[in-house]
Amino acid sequence: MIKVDHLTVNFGPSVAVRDVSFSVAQGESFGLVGESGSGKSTILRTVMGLNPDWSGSIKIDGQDTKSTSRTDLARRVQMVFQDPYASLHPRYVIGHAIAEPMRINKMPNPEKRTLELLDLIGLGGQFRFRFPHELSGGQRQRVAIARALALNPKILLLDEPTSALDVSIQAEILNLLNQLRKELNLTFVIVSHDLAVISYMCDRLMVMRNAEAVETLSRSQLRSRDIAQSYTRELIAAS
Amino acid sequence: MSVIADPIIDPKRALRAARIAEFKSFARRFMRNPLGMVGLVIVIALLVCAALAPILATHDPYLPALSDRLAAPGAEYWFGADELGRDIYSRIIYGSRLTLLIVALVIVTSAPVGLVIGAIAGNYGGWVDRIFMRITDVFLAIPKLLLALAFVAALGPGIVNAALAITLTAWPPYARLARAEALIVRNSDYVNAIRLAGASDFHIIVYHIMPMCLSSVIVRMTFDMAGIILTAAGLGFIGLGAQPPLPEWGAMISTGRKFIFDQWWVATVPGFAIFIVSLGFNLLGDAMRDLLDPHLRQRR
Repeated sequence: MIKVDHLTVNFGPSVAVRDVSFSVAQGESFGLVGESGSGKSTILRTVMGLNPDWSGSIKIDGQDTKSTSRTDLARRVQMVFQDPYASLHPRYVIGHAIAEPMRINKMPNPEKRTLELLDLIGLGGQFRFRFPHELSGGQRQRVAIARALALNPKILLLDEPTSALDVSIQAEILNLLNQLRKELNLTFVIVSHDLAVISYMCDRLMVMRNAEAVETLSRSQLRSRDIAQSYTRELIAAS
Repeated sequence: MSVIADPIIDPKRALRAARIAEFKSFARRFMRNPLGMVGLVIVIALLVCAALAPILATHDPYLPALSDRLAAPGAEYWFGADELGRDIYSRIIYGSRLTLLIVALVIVTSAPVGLVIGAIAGNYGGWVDRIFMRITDVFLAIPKLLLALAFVAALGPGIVNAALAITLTAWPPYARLARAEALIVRNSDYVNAIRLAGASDFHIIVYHIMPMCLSSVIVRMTFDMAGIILTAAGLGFIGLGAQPPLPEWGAMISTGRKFIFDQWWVATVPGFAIFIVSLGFNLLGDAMRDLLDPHLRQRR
């Protein structure tokens, strides 16, 4: 589904991601772990086209993202941002926020689908005309997920989806995401600094450090501590 | 008790209810500010004066009564009469229409122009930003009144020309303001999210960036109204704004200047009108800033 080859991202003179390659299969959940500043979120933003200065190749569904139009890309991949307090427009009711991607892409029946999506994420239609400031962090993140799902993408990129949330809410959101992945047959790429989240959510994971990939592990390797790199061991010991 | 509309059965009413609830909470916070309420009362009084001028006025503002030249304030002429025996009170009341007309003309033309230019410059950045902002700088570099004077001198005096001249100098601050907001908003996650959904730049600027610039622009607008009134009165005073016999407040002060030592009311009363109205807009602007300024407002 996603194939990233020799990706290098520059922010001016500094290198945020250096020569990183990985691929994610259809229906898989792939994790990116590393301390802050290791370049994991940058990879997601680059896949979505939010960073202009990169080299290498990113293929989604076999199509190069450089030659794919924005709207075409939007129907394949969507992203959920880290901070649910910053990712919803404060002036619009959430029903509007969820319906807007559908209106932009001229999809039929945005109103009806908004209600379906609200039910899907467990909020219900009565939340439709609430403003973001009337919702809790967990509820906002649910809305952000619903907005990301509005265009029926096959791939969801999740940038630290729970790190801004209370511990008690984190499990709720993660369970919701797992349930959605099963129901809608989604492919996930999850970025987190929290190994517990990654090992709960992901089939495979890649450890990153200082803009470079350290190693790629499967969940069973992680559980059985079958680890090659010392940095990964440190990371596990620390969590 | 109002009936809460079911958002699933009746979405239009529910949306309106949500908006009304937002407005009510805004109004409640506004009412906690007594000075802001004073400003609001003054501005509303000005609007009422302008709307009901024929009813509120006791005399014809244009009809001279030479036997009552420069009559002192009293039962017949509440604020006295001017050098042609016209009732100053009635002229002040009618003058509020001219004041509002100029303010409205300037605001309607300058704020949207500044908002659009600022939002575009802030959204695109790079050379678009540089070009728009340097143009803005050019207009900011010229002294306000001087440019207005030159413009009026070229086009000829009159209310509409005065308003145009003020507009020419009034839009750059809005562009600056809108650009500053746009620069913050364009990199926010909610704009990124809608960009990822395939929204065009036009859509992003109009529906996402501009609404966020609006609160700063509204605050600035309220403050600006006081300045516009003063500039308009200044132009009227030097004879480049409204022309006689129009009861423009600045022009009224100008004619009253000749009698200021013996018949103080001819110049003083319009002066007070300008003072009170400017104060009203400033107080209102202060209160609005406390509520709307994104940098002062704490996260709710």
